[in-house]
Amino acid sequence: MIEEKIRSRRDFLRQLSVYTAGGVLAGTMPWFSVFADDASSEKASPSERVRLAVLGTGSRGMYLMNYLIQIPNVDIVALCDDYQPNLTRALVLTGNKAKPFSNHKAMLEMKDIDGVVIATPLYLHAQHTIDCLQAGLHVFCEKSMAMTIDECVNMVRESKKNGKNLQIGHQRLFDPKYIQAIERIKKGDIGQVTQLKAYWHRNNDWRRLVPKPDLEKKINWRLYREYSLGLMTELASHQVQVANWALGATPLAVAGIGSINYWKDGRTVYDNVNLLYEYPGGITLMYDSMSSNRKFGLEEIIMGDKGTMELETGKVFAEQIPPAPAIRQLIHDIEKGVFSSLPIGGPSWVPEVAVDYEGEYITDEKIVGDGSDIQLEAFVNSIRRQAPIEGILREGFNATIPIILGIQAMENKQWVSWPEGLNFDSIV
Amino acid sequence: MPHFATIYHRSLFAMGTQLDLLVCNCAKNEADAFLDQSEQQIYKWHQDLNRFASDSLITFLNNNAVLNSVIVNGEIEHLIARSKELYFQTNGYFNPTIARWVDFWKERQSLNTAGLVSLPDELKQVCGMNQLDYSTELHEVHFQHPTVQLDFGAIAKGWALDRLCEQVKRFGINQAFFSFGGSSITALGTHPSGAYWPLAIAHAFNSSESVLNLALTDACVSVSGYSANNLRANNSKRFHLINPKTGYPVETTAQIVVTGPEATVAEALSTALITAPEQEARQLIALFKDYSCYYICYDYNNHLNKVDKWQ
Repeated sequence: MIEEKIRSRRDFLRQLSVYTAGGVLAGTMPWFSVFADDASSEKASPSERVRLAVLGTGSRGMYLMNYLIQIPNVDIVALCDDYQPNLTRALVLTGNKAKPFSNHKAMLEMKDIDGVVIATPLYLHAQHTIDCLQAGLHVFCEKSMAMTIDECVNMVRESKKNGKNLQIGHQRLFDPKYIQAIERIKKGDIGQVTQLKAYWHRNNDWRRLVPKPDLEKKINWRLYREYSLGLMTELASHQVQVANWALGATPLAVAGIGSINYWKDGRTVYDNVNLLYEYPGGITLMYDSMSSNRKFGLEEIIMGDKGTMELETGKVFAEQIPPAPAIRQLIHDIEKGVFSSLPIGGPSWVPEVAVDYEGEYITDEKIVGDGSDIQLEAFVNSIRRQAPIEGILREGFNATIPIILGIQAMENKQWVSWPEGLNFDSIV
Repeated sequence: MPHFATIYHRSLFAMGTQLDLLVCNCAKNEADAFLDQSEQQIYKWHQDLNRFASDSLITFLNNNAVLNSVIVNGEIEHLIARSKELYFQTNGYFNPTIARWVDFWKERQSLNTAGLVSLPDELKQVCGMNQLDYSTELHEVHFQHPTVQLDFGAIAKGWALDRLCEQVKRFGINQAFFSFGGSSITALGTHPSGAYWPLAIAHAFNSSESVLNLALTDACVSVSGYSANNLRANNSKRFHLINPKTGYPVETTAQIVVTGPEATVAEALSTALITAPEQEARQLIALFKDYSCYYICYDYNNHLNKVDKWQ
């Protein structure tokens, strides 16, 4: 069963890379060319060992490491964290083979590192990324990209200057379910997209246990404005990235309200946010996230005049309910002038098995995973190819700027427009 | 250039299943008008006849007709009148008053205790349409016993098909195919490429195999009984058929297929004949001259045992 799933995923990636190389998806998902099995990949032999460092070995860093150790011919040769318990735990995962550091600059003096996976708190992303790029290393940096627009611009500039891959960890870009959904949206399966809704609702304090009070901000950095933009960078950034991807555009402006209306525990980031993003063509994304109710969970809903997609649950709902399979065949036969029997039968109406239109699944359920593993394989491939992944940094940049603008809109209680002249391609 | 038929279709969910509406060889504006109107009506009938909806007409009737006479009209009155006729014509084997028994066994089944219990005293009273007083002059309905609760699930789809058939003819459309979940069907006129609508009853447990071929022209078909959908995850049978004479679930590995001119009758007959003993069922179908019945039986390994025509 597991082999079948892995094979399905391999076939899926191969198919995607062919589409990308052939130009079918080049406009919407160019990053899959990193999996292309073509002549240019001669220098990207899968047998070539890739040596990685992990900077930031907290929960997210460990999560990523668990995928990294499963990628063939990848060695985690260095680990860095200034919180010893996390560093010790990560070291065990490498079988004590990695070299531990508490200072990333000391780690960067190592000569035998090809790339760095950064999973440090948000406020450190920019500095850590730039230091690694300047050390000549490829960088995978967890989302969101950074705290400020200037930091994002500097990260992009440094990546372009050094010609190294800088990849921001938006795993949905590699999630088979999302890829097929976006492909279907681009093909027009749900018609003209006119509105999007996204939400992420949880009912918990988002806190981690703190062994000593003086470690509160170090461990619960997500709750403090000087270290994090809270729900926006940790959750909303994923969903705004999906909206950008589906629309092939970035927001023009945003307005919103945020507050701390439930968890009055000393945190300084909002515990609920509500935003309205305006996209070109009068299209809107309505977004909200909260921490005191989880009934609705999380979802990205994309609505068009022919159908609706719910991407988290992976379902598509046609505005016009499609005919039953046998009826579909009958319609086809009539249209082609074919006279053949229609299979019928099945149960009579019994209330206890009553059904309603529940949509259809977007993708083949055999393909599993949320893209976290595939995005790391892509990063490793980019190192073997010694080249940035096409289009991937643009997605990360374009997903982060609206998040920062959303924070500005909520904090200043005003509409905030995308800054004039701010464009990924014009950053040099 | 060969001439191919024009076809228009609409699908929707109502009355617990999918309804597919196809109309052929007519003008687009006629087809659209018919399909739009039908969709609205179906949803209204669905709402009115849904006894699980707290605000439906049938719920109001079930909640109040045992205490007081309730005035009925429109579709509900028509259905009650037709149901009463069919109840007597089928010797009580079509019985839309047994909703309480259906609910009782459904609940027991959900608790996996169906085989361990008998009907409680308050449900032992055998009920039927003979305990439902209906005055055609006053348009009033009264239930004589609290056990009486109406559920038109076994007939409503057929009744709706007949109304759709009348309606489509008013639009001047003569070729149409309406299917409720592939088990309640009306075929009007002929297939655009043939002299009839060719249908094949699928094997209940192997849908790629057919067990009976039918040729329908201006006719209906109704299928009741055993199928893969009646099996639960643990392979036990889902009780969806209740013997209206005893109040207990019907254990059967058979399907009944009824064809004839009126879908309401075909629906009532297929339900009645699957619950009646075979001898009595054969006598009943003989009374319905324009209808044919096919008895399809599976063995306990779900292999086809036999297909009999009862008339």
